[in-house]
Amino acid sequence: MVDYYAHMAALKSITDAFGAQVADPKSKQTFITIQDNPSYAALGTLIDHLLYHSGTSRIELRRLTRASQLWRDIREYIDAVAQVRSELESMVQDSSQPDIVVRYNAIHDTLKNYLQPKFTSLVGRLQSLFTQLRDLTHIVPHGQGADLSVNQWSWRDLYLSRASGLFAETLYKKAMDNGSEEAMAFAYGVSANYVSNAVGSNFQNRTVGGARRSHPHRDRVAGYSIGAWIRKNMAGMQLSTTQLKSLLTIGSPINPVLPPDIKTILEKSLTEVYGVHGLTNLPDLDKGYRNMLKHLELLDSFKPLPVPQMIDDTVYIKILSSGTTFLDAPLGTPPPQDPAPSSGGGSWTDDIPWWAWVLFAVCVALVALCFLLGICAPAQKDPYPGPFQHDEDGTSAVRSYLTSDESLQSVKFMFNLHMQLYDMANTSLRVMKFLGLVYPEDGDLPAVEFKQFTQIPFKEIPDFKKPIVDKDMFLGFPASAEEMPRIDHRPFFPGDFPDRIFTNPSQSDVSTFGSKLWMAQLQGTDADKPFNLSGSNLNLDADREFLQLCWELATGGSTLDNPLNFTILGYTKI
Amino acid sequence: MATENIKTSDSHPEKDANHDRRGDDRDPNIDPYLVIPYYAADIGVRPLPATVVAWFCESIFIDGVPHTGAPLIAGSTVMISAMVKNAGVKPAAAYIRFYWLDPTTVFTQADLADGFIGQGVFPVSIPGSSGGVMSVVESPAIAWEIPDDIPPHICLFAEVGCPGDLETWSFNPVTDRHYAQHNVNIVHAMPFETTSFFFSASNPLKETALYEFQIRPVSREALRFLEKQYRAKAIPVKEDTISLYPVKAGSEKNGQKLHASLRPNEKQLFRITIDMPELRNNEFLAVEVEQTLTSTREEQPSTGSIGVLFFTESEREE
Repeated sequence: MVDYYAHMAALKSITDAFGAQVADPKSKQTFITIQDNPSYAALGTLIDHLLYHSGTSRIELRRLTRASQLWRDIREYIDAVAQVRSELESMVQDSSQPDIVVRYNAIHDTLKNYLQPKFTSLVGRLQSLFTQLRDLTHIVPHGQGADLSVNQWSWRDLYLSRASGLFAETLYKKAMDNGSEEAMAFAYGVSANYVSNAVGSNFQNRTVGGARRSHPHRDRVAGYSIGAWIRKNMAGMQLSTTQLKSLLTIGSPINPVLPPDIKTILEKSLTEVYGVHGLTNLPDLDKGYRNMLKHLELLDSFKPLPVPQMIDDTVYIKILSSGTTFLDAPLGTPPPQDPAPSSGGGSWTDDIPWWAWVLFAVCVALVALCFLLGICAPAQKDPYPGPFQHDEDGTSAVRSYLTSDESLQSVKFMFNLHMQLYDMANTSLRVMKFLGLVYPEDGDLPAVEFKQFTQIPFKEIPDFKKPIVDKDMFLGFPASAEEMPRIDHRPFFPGDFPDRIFTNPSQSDVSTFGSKLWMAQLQGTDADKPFNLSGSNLNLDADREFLQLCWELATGGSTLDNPLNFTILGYTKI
Repeated sequence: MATENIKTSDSHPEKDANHDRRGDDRDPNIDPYLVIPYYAADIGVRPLPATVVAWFCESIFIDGVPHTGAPLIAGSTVMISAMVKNAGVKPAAAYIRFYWLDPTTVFTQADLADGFIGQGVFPVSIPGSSGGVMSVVESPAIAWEIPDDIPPHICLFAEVGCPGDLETWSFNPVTDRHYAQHNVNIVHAMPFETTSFFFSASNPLKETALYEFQIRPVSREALRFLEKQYRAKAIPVKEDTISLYPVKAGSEKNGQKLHASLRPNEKQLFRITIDMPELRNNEFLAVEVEQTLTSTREEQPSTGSIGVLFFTESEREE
């Protein structure tokens, strides 16, 4: 299952390729219909995400909401620190300003009565969030990975792993029966989703080192890393998730709802394909739609923080001239306890459990606290004296302080605090990116934790690996056993970037398969195997390599068996 | 070109024999570990190896190219930047500061305050960036309007730090990877004449200290480095052609090695002399002066150095 951006890039590449092939009036009209109804086409292209959000994403959304609120509060807090810094530096530059006592006391009050007490609660909330995330349950694994029976799977997993071609075919027919342009655009979008997942999941799995059912956490980070790569590098894909949400918003922007016709088409298709097997408890599609929009909104709420301003040049020159030595460097980040990351081995991410990064963040926070409380001030003196009295004596005292070396120390201290908080916030956000809660930014992509997913690896044959024993080590390429039997049919080569999903020299790509599928659907025929929707169901997680059909475990078997004991499912079987 | 090596350095710490002996107590396996690299494989081992020219950091750039020591034009505006390497495992928001000083061996806070150029914040990534194992980035370029009274010879000084790897305020590029200097002075002199060059030395300590000052020809390894930098041929310097003088009323003592007792922040002016031989246009002589602490209660001597390159004076058109 690929991410939002891979799906959107698939829709674009199929539309472009299809547009280049249209010749007759009917295909031209279809092309125009898809182009004129981009929201519906996009909605169809994201059908698997809509199903995911119909219930499975409950924990993720709750935690993401909590993280988003925390990020907002951290941002506000750091803004307040920046404001105090700015005020203090202004007063140090010119202590003869009017109302100097009032102004100084105001920042002193902010420091002592807002920033210091608030810090503890902020860091407490941060630790609490990470403690909650520790179980990694915000990523819901594929039911098959836990050997659950099909009726216990989520609708997302059913759609991706059972009767996928039959569902796309059924939905297409129902959309044509409906006859509206919106329904048609939606149906072509669903077909694009089918191709996007079939091809894109294979690229994703090869960077992960196995299937989603075996490596759910790596799979998520891979999906988001590939999505971020696409957003950064592919033409026309520079969309924020807010823009994507806007595209998907149909009807009232205040309370968008899934269009009734689309809901009906979906429900009828699900009932026809899966209901006959007793799976009649249909997903809440309205909720899926709302939650998907909410998810996109939350993803865009982690805006980068403004980079701290350096100390004003003239103040910094005063600091240097004062001759005071600021030996505040020895206080650094204490080492994490167990296990210590090491740079040995093939890649150092292989040796680091993800939560070591939480310890980094917490340690950075502790250093910030030292600056905030003045614990690491020279001679243990309070670097933020006050408040001063509102009279002549007070004015004289505050001016004396603001022209002293102590105030220069405080300026330097506040700068260190600001930088430390900035570092703490970014380290925390980085953990959320490692955990697949938030997309990496463009600037994160060169880091090995994300880069490993945006290029087919060179270092070894990236065969499918069985699940890892210690799930905390998911940031490293799996060192577990190779899953058998191997299937050697791959369109991607070491060094390939995600753009090869959409076009590649062997034409085993989204634009080729997708445009042919659309053309076949339009002409009422079948596309070439295995994209013949009337006879083949591709496993849309590509979980047994490229373009393999839906399968089931042999009776009594487990996905942990090696070799995997399975049989290919018949066309209408689930 | 050596600079291109720094810009594209992918060196791996494990390939360096000194990986575990970087000269400070920071742990690159935990924190950011910033270095203004003196050479492509520089991972922050300090003191700098003896084969490295401590007064010539090729990571300090003017207008995007390594500074050469050529005089800067008063009133013009240039962009100053530096390459910074993160040899640790954590990314960081780093900050950089630049300074200029009159030729000097040692940097004091007061001198740096007088020569403050500017500062900036920038992100440094972690190993894995740019397809390599080490992350090397160019700092933001700071606009610097060259002062009207700037002398023909100056020293450029850079300082880097970040949360988790704060600058240490030692201001010593030889022993501290947070600092780097371009302290090369290009002098054009007439052949068969004795030429002088002046520099100052200071005592950055809070107590009076005795320093040794030694002038000497630049080592063979260092000459090879300089030949590459200037695409010119280094001519060996005869030791009896160089001398060092304290510039002090009543003081006539000179030689290759001098001692001076300096009070805290006291500044002492020195003069280098060299008897210039006849050189071709693409030939030069190189000498360096090293300042070494000889009496201190501290364990580590504080050192500094400065380099001077002598080219022949071309005939000027009337």
